[in-house]
Amino acid sequence: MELFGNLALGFETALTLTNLAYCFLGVLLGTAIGVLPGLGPVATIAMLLPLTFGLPAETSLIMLAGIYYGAQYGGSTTAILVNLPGESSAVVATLDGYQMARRGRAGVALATAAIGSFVAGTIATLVIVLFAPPLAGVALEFGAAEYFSLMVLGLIASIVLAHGSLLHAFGMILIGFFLGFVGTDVNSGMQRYSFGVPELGDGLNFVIIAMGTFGLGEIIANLGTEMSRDVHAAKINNLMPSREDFRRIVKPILRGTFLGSFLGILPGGGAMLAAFATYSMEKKLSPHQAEFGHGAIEGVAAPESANNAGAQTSFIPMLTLGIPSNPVMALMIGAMIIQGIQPGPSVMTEQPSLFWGLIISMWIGNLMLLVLNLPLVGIWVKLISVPYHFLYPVILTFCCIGVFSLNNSTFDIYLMIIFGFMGYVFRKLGAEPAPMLLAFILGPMMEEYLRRALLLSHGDPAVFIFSPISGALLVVAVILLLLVLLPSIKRSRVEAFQEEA
Amino acid sequence: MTIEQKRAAATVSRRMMVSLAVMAFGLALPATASAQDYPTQPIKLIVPGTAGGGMDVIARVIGDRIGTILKQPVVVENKPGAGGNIAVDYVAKSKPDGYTMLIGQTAHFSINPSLYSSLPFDPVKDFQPVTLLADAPNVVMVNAESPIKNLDELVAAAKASEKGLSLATPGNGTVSHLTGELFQKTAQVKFNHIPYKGAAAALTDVMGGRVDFMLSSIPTALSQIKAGKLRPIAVSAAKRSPSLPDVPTIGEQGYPGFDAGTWYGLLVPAGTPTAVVEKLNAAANEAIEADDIREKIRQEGGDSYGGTSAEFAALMKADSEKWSKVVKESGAKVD
Repeated sequence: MELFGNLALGFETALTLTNLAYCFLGVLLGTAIGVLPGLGPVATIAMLLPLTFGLPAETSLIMLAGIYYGAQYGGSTTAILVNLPGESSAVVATLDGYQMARRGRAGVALATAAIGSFVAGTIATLVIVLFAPPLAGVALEFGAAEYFSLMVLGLIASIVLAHGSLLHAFGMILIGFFLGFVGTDVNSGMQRYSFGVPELGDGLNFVIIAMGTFGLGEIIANLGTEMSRDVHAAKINNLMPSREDFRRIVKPILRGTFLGSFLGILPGGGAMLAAFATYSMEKKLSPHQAEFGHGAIEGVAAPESANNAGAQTSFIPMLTLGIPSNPVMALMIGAMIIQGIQPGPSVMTEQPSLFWGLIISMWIGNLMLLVLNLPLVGIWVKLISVPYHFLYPVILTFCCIGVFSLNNSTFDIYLMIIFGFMGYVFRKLGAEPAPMLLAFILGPMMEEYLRRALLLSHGDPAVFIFSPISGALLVVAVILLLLVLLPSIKRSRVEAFQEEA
Repeated sequence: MTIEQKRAAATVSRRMMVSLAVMAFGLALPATASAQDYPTQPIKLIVPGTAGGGMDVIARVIGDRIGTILKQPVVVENKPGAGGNIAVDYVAKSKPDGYTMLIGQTAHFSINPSLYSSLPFDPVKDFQPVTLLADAPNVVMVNAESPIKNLDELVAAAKASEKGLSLATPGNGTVSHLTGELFQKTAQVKFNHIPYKGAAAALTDVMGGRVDFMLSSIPTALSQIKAGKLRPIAVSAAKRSPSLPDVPTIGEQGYPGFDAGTWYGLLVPAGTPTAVVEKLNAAANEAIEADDIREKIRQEGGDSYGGTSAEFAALMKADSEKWSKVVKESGAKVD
């Protein structure tokens, strides 16, 4: 059996003392930067890249990969505890995770995220082992038309994210689109809405908007409601999920893993799309629909599994095709080149110990993360009971450091402050920033793919329907739209009825 | 005046001169000493791109070695944005003391000045070139399944097709894009330009068979070429690339004199002391001549080229003239 031979080689490589140590170092560092708002794996890996010059290729890649998926773990911790998504895929974790934390179930939410991520990581590793080469071809099947339709589907799914007024959700999506327009137009090279400011030439950065609207906005809003804080800090009861909780999260974790593994393969925001697509799916499938947006445990389990599975499978195009699916993968390719390895289809045959060692190390790393994170849950939860006047200045400082680290530019910090006030206003108006953030990411991509698809088809829109993948995605989008609209019409009737009563 | 008196006077004046000289030397001492002792603190190397981009890897590898040679760490700082203009402007306005360097390339100094109607810096007056580091040609590629085998067939296919062949490039205003424009003019053809955000997405579409051909720098495509997924049909420089020695140049295939590549070079702000520039030039030349560094640059698809700062300045001037003509004729404009 070739597969067992490969796995044995993988374990042999990953289980050496050096590689174990660097794997641990990677996941530890990753968790730390994930927890700290704004500091992301891209900047960290870039800074550590020169340190890996002296290490063997396997060891350095194992460590860098550990930072990446470790950061995915850590990122959800901050999202759940203080409503601060450090990365696009963590936006979804703020929705129900933070609500759980507010209801004294922070420990359960964190443990659920950790367990979900571990299960997803294990299954995704298996998927890579078994299917990496055939799956690599899937990424090539997705052209501009297919991506556009996938984004349409994603956008419609994002409407489901909002709990509350559908009108608000539409409004926030529109604002997200407008923010996404800022920057250089890919097709003409024209600057749009940059007002002659060179820093705006490349558009607004996701992290800045997220830190501003979520972090700063939350802090400003909470200054007005100091009292409510002590209430949920006192209510923390159990840290581990109950048997009932476990029963509820099994299926969401599996569904999240499946969708995450698949979407992670696609270059360009696959893991992020996966996180909120599964959230929307669970919201529709769950018997506890009413709890969504108010601390439903499924709303944490599914997207967390999806984003970890996606993070894992995003290695597939990088390892098998040499195509980076996100900036972190681009850095990994850089690390391989520095080591004298040409990334691409030949890696698997020419560097089997690197290929299989890296994959097995991901599973070991996930296990380490679980062991590392479960006992830490108690400590993290205590963070919530830290008084505001200590916690907030610390968060603000880290937000500033994190945002500055993006481009080494103070302009970005000022921008974050502006978005902080916007976030406060949104909160006062009862408008959810999550759909805005997703529209901000999806909008420019949709435009880019739409225009590219039309450029390639010489202006013929039929490509969107006659490409089988694209057509199927659009059909699903229409069905989903109907599913979204019908219950909300029904619900508004019920609400109207209640108000009368 | 007796001879003795004259001698005494001469001695006095000689003494005065010496002491004056010493004083002058003393005044000049800090500057000379700093240029002599340079570097006494870590040097910043500004990279006008994101961490992990092609230039970033070259910068980190070379910067690391320059640091070893000068016995001071070279710290790479990424300042992406506005097509590199933010980083270039930052260095233009930095102190000319040799502690802030820039890895610049063709686009920043020879293309952007004609592409953007106004830039906050002057690419000639604000900079002191240190040395050329590397030169990387672009490569024309098709999907391995494509019937097109060489440049003649590409031009014939473009002329025969009703709507024009589609050409993928890593973006508007990039060297690849303008190389395409230059070739359209040279070969009298018209392509359907499809700009991407970076080469990776463009590569995927060429490999998926959705775009007819592609122009990009060699490193981004090298692994796909080696794996046989893409077929290189021409390199854009005057000479063949050591990474792809079997691929003929555009010039060899019937368009003599065609030369378009991306150079990478080291620059410091104008006004940096000559001694510092010379020291940096020597260190950079030593760094890129080392076999392991040469090999790493080659893996990135470039040839290492050193040289004097004057040679580099001349190259920058010649390239600016060439590209500004292409930009004007293609009508490309940003902002």
